[in-house]
Amino acid sequence: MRRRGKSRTDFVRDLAIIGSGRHWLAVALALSLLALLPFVLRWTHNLNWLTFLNFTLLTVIAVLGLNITTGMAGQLSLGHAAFVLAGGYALGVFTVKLGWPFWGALPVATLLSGIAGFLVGIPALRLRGFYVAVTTLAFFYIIQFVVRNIEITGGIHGLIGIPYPYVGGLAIKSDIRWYFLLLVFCVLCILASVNLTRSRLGRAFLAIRDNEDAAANLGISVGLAKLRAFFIGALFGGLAGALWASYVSVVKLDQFTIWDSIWYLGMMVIGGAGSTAGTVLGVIALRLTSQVLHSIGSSGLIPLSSNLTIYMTYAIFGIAIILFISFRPFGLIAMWQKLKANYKRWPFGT
Amino acid sequence: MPQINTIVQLIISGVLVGGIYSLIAMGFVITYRSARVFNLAYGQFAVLGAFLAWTFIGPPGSPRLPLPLAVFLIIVSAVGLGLLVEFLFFRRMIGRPLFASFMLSLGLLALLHGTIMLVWGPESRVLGATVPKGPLFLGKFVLAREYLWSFGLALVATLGFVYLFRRTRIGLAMRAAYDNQVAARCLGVSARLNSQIAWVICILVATIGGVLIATVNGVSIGLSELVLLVLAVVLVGGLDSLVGCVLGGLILAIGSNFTSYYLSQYLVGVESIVSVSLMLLVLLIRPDGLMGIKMIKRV
Repeated sequence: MRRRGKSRTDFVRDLAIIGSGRHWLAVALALSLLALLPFVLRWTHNLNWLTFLNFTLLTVIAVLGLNITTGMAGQLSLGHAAFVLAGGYALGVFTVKLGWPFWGALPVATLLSGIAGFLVGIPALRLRGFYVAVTTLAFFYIIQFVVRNIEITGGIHGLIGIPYPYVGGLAIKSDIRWYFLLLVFCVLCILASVNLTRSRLGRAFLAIRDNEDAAANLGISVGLAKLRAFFIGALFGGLAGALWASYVSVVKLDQFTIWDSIWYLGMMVIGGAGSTAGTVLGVIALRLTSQVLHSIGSSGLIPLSSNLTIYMTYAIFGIAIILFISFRPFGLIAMWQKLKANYKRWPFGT
Repeated sequence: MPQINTIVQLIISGVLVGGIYSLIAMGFVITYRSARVFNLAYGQFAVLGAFLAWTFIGPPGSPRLPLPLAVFLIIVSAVGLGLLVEFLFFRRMIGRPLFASFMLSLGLLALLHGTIMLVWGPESRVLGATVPKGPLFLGKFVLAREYLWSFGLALVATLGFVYLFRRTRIGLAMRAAYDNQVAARCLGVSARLNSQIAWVICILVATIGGVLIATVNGVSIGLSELVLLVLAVVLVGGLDSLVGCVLGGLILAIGSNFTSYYLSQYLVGVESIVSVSLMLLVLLIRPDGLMGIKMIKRV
């Protein structure tokens, strides 16, 4: 039977993130599947995939931040990895050098990274488009330079022995415990990101992205909104970096390079810039691709050295970005929505 | 006074290196001024040119092909690559938002990086004879011959491009398309031809610049770091000004010469940061660069 169109009778209902009972069911199902996943992996002896999942969750948090700065507010940022780096180093310095507890250092590190984002946003007030991108790129190199040259960050050696957190007396030490902690953070970040899109500020971001002059004429304070976009984006990046540092217990300069900034942008574009769900999809797609390539390289099925696998990953990511931007500029999420619409209208869809 | 001698020496070598930077920056400006593409893959094209040159010319002492033939092949492959890149990637970008071409160039950056590493590998190589090498003594000062030759070639190429842009019909068409793509097309300027010419010139210049830099520094993937420097040169000079390129190149080369001579023993990596901070400073004070055309904003 063909489905009727959805009729929404009141505004609150229309704005709700989870609109219908069916939607609630889907969300509950997805969450319980995600919660069961590590146990399935343990049962099938695939625990190394858990590490992959953890890094994917961390990357999702970081790229959600980039999606706010670049995808929603349209401020091209090539320096997002710098915020992740700043968050990681801040957590490292506070816990290792100053002896703060993890849960005290985490919010401060996140906030510091946000303030860094705010500072980067200041030159962006006078600039547009590419110039903003180059400013963020310059900022990336400056942060790297500062971290390398000051004493407290350990220079080129980085910081080691970053402590793991405790939750209610439980040490978050094993991959499986980290998975649940990161899952909680990730879901919270996704919620925050979706909520932002339906707030006044989120609509202001979209307006600035689409037409800065028109947005200003509608009474949006463009400068303030841009600063907020950078601030919020950097908060997400900093949170990801701080969690990352604690998860791998070291923070080093070569953990977050300019390539990471590029991959973050690529993940966002492949998933669908400006869409939270799209961003998550894009991160999963690219991370899966790289993991599969890595597995092929290390399994010895095809004689490839690990270096060759890495270069192949570069080339394939590049091709993926080019193909998506040329033929599917709205990303995976638009493909999914089209598929869904066609399914609903079948046999009348295109 | 040795101090004065050092300063003059630093300025002279800064001018020579600055000439090469200016030439490379010019290739970047040309695609921006005609096709409005902010080509972040530019450094990778220069590296590709250097590796192609190494393939044709070979390591020092054992030339693979006679030099004129090698030069001819390098030029032909650069032109071919320019046409190919335009046809495959950037033709679709005419009329698309800036973000699209920006992301496309990032994708191209990754693709070229991966391909170069797959084909040639990460180890650096020494490029065989393209121009005479060795020191040249001028009174108290020492000049490297290869710098001098590179500077001369860069100067000739720069003048050629300035002439092309300022005095010929092709240059006029390209400037018109930069001002207003739609109006230019209405007046009979072919957008496709424009974009083809721009890409051929861009990659040709990238190749020449890459080979010149490789003559001095050797061929390696690390040359792509120069894209940042080129960006800095371009932005200091002004994104749409050829003369600004020359000015920016000289300022940055002399500046980084001085800082690396006087400061690099105290701070690691200061010479790479000086160009970046100079660029930020210029952007903050004059967002259009020193010589850039001031954009008039109408609301």
